[in-house]
Amino acid sequence: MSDRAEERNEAIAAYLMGELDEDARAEFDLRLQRDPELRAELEAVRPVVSKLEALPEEAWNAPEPPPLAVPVAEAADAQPAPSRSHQARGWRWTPARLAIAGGVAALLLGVGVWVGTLVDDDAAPADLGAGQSIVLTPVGDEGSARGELTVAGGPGGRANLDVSGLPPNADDYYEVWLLGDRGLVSLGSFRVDEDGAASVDLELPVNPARYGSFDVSLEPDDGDPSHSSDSVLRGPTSS
Amino acid sequence: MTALDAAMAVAPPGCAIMRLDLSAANSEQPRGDADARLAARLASRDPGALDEAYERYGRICFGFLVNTLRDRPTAEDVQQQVFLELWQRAPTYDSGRGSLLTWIMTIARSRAIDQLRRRIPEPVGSPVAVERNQSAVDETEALVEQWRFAGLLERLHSDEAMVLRMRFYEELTQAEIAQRTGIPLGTVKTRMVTGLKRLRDLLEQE
Repeated sequence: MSDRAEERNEAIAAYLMGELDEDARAEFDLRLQRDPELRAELEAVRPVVSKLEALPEEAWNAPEPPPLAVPVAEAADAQPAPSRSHQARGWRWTPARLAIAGGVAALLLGVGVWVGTLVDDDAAPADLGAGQSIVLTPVGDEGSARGELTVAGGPGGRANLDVSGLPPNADDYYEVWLLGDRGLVSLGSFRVDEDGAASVDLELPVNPARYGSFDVSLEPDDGDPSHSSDSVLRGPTSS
Repeated sequence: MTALDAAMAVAPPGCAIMRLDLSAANSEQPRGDADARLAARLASRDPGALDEAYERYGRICFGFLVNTLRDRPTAEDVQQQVFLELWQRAPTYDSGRGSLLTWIMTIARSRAIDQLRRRIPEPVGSPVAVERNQSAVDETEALVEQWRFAGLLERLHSDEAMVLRMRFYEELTQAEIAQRTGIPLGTVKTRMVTGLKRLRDLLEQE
């Protein structure tokens, strides 16, 4: 950078940061009036200074995040996550397995409980047991649709969801959720075959008992990961 | 002793210098290229990729979530959801639509909004509308932008980030920064200019 360019840039920075005294500022204002290139340079930097001035204190002192609780070593051995165009029948669910921080701590302490029971949740209803089935009933117009979610045994926190009677849809897809007062947790997405059926293996990254319902929604393929509010099946997390 | 060390040495007790993680900020390598490689590794299920993404962006994401949700335990839950979703959806990431940071913050925004609304989807055709707390959503939009910008600060050289922090967080003048750190005033001004320029470039790349 030439000395002149550096001087200009330093003056721009000082001007925007309010560090010029009255005389220098007046002189710089005159230069701005005469020099459109200087004005353009200043306006290019102004948003940056404005954003820095607007940063909340918290953003300068970002808190230490909790340890990542997605065991990627296990996940790496599993199959790749499906693309949204993947047909659901026979498809295995995404490999990531989320053990939430409390669960991990409990495991480290040697508490021999599986994921569904290791979350500290005083108010949680009884956890789902292995082999327990929950029927998902239609919501809204999907009168013939049905779902049955069966909890798998073992320490992994898995379940299988069989659905039938859901309209096949080439553009949209279905997504499984846990929902309740705590909010929503996506358990993954799937499509149905031409008969409207699918069988999906699910990972349960959190304790379902902490949430009120399993929910299946119809989601547009619009890149928005939030719930569409278009639920088609729902059932309680306890039978 | 680096300039950052010098600044820390003279900072008043309790005065944080830069708690944003600047360990990666010294790299001359464009972060965009590194992000693209990291995204490709995530998509191919490289075991270290998620850890690296978390190391790189976990703090910013978590800061945003704590700032937005105002409840650390909830933010911790949502943080895990965000990175689980990042892992699950990595094959669908399109670098042409934004940086990895932007994508992570987009996921975080959506999950934060879900929490804020505590939205229980109503049956189709139900007369009960889903209640939306628009003001909270609007605030979240502003916060996600601020935190995404804060994420860009981590891409600066540490010397540049330090003078920006001292100027815009500690509200010191450039002369005061020079005095506190012992760095010549001309060098402080140069770092201020290059830091601002680099941020401008990063904003344009985003």
